[in-house]
Amino acid sequence: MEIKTNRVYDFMSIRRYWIAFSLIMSVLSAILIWKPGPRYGIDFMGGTELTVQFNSAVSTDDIRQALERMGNERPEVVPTASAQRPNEFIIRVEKTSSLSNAERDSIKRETERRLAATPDRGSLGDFRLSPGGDHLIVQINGGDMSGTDVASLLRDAGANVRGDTAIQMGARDEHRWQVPLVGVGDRIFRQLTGSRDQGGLGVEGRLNASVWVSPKAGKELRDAAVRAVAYSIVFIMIFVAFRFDLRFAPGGVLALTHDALVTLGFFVVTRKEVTISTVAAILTVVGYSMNDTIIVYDRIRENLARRKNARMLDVINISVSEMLSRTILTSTTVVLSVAAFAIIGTGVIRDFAWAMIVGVVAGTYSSIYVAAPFTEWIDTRFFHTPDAAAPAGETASTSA
Amino acid sequence: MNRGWYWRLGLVLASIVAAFAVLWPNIPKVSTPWARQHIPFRLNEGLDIRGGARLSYDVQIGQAIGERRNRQIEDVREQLARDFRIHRGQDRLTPDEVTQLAQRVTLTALSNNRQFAVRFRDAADVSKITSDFLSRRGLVRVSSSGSTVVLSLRQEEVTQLEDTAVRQAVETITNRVDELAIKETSITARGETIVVEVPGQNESEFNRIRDIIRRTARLEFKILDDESTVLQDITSGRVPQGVTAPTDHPTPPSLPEGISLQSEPTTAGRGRNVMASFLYATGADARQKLQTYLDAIRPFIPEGRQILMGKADRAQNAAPGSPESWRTYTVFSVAQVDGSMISDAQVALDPQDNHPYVQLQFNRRGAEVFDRVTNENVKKRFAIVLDERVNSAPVIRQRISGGNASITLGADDPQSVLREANELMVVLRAGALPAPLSEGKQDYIGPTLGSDTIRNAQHAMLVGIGLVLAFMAIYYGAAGWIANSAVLVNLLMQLAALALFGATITLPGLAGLALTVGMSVDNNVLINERIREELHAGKSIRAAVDAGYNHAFTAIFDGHVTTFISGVVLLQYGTGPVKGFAVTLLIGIIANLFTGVFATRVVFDWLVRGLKVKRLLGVAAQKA
Repeated sequence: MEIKTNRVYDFMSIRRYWIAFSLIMSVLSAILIWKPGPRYGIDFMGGTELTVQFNSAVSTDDIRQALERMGNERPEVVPTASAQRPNEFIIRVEKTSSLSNAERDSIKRETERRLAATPDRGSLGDFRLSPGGDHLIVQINGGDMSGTDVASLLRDAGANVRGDTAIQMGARDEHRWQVPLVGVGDRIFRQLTGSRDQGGLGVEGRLNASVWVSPKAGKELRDAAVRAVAYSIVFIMIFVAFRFDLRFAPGGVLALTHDALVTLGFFVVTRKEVTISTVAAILTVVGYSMNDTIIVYDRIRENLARRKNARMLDVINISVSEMLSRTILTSTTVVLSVAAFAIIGTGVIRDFAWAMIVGVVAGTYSSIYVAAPFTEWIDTRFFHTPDAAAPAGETASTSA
Repeated sequence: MNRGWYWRLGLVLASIVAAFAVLWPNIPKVSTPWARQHIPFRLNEGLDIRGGARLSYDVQIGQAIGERRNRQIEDVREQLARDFRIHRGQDRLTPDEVTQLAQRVTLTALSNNRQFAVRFRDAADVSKITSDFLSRRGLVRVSSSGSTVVLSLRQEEVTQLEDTAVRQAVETITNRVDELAIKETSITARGETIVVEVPGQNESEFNRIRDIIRRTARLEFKILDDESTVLQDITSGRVPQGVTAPTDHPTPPSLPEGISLQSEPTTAGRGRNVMASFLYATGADARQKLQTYLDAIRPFIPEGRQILMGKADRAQNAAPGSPESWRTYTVFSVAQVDGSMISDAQVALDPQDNHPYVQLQFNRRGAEVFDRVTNENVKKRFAIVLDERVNSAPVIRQRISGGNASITLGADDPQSVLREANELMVVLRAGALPAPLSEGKQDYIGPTLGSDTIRNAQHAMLVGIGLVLAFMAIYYGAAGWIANSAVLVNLLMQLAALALFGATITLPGLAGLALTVGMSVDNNVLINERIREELHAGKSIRAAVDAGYNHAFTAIFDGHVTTFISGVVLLQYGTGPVKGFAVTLLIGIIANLFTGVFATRVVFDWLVRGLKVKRLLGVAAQKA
């Protein structure tokens, strides 16, 4: 089988429309990335971690499906492989509990009022909500209260305290307490152990812990990835300028930026979660896009050397036409290799595959309609502008 | 066929055999016990596929607060020394200045970890502690009676420490895990608990990681006070000079059995030969016994001094398994140099006896301070203190410029010394923990992805690769199988390389691998399409293959070098998962170049030169 490509197609005659299209897509993506911004997953935002022990055997997949039915996206369900605690699972969801500022202030005021009303109970010092909103930190100076006293004090003040006792922090004479609150973890647990027709599992269990969990990868990872890509762009520009020509470097970088923006924009539009895997997917897209652009550049370079008098636009048309069969074949095989993940894969893998497909299509397209025209524009704008030596059709006939 | 071709064929076959050998123990049904025992390379499955261990640690914030309080004590001491015109400039106090200052004022840490007492000799000096003095340092006055003022850290500072200590500890642990090149580890905090999830099933590997994470790794350099008579005084029941005995213990506790007071000849400055006293204990519980006694005599240690412990007999060749000996060192408590002044640490081998040691490189400030301090203390001993234990106490023979120092690790068997040296290097490079960690429970956890998800992904991978192979076979016919073989060999080599580097396989990693398979086809497409073009242009089969490879190569090479550059940059500047991604990318590029360009050429050359085929890639040659 063979895709015949002896003709030269005039790709560049319609470049204005495609440049406009790329520009709109990139700007739109950039705006969306800025606002509303990507939806960061539990990897970046943290979430709530429940430790649940069921009374009888449950499968990881059943729990996950039940959680997804309740509207938790990408829940992590991890069985603890412990003989003493069978059927125990660690469940991570991205939802977090939080009190509103008004609620917090009202509890604080009420606590102060109640302390002041009773003599010898001390005064309220530090009063804070923990970063994840799953517990309060209170300091009661001067009084000598027990953990249960503190818990009931805060419960009376309107806080939804979990359990009967507060946990002492630091030395005894610091009078600092951690007061666990009922939150999203308890709600999820109730739903999960609820009956089957209400979306639960119909299995009783015990909630051993429910805490806020910090992000796996903070801003540091994201920033490190962005910084690394920025540095590699600089090095790639130097390499391209050295191996090819100064004219080629900006186009390649523009194409690469376009592809990364569009892929991330796709995540924003489809409201898919951005996770550590997404960062890897975007890095892969950047790599693919660069490779593809360089291969198109290579042919342009070869044809430029062969046809000294031809217009740059004609050379691009000839080169892209010559490469058409390769472009179709390669992008088809690459898409084929990940398409199966996008269709039959689940969760993170499916998102990863979709990012790859969007990125590969963008990467292939941008080599032709972003990198090449921009190189041509730089050529005519800043370098020499040779008079058209021959019309496109004629030059092409020599190559066939 | 010429000789060069046979060499190339040999190289290709040898690489395939080598790749298979590396992977052998990892292939179910094919591997044998012999292979599992003798070939150490494993493909590790990540937390998502296989699960692993879940280690939890509690950050002892109380200790971090105490530590901050202790630093405040040193700052206040320095400021008072300036106020009393004993000290000038921004450097740390010298031992002499500390002794002088002790005549005017003493500072003591109190049992409440945020408070300390300042006791002036002259009650009039209390006025030196002005409210401006306190607010500038974030301190508050708790009480004041006569010549004694009790100061405390502000609540805001304590709160801030609580907020940052856990975050800093997570950062430090992340750095250490990065240094150890453990892939795909998850490090998260829950309140004051840090949970580290490590993939794998290897118990001894978990133990190693646990030890490294737990080390506080606080490194300090302190000067020894070898002329001190404190230990002689205390052990003979006298209260040392300048010490106010606590009211409930008027005399220091006497030496318990098993600890002896000993002395050794050393120098305490130029031309000052002295006999330095130290406590010594040997036996199974020597360390514990000595520690208990040191805790008991702490109230009798004068201002600015500290008694630290270290292993004795480090240099002698003690037989393995012989009881441990521990001894004390009397030092000035001001740390002259600390871990923050180190820029790098490396394991090196002593050329004389091949013993590993850790070489420290100071940063600029560290080098300056080290140079000055060694110059001021020639012929005195200098203790290298790691986590409150004296590692060694060499005599400073001369001023040391150039910013290097080394930590020796005793004379146990070279294997364990090397292991310790490597651990030390890792923790010193990654930095100290802001507070000690106490170890919580260790659990094993199952895979984070359910079995159906993993099964789906495996199916997807097989379907994806199958589609690519089928597509190539249909499009290029027989020659498509050259490309297909290249793809399969490529996959084999990438997996072998991952096993060789001990990389961890995760599901997104597998998807990435499927993508590289797709990309490796690109090389063959480029070459094949180019050969077809050359054939259409009227070249002979041989000439078309040569031209096809030569022309396609510049494109492939430039494309791969560009991607390689970005891989190296990602490896250099990325962290954690980004680094892991970079390794996979670099491996993929090299495997692509080898299989896609070098290996397929061997087959094409055989076709055109050996078999002398008349048709290639569905195109008949127009010329012979």
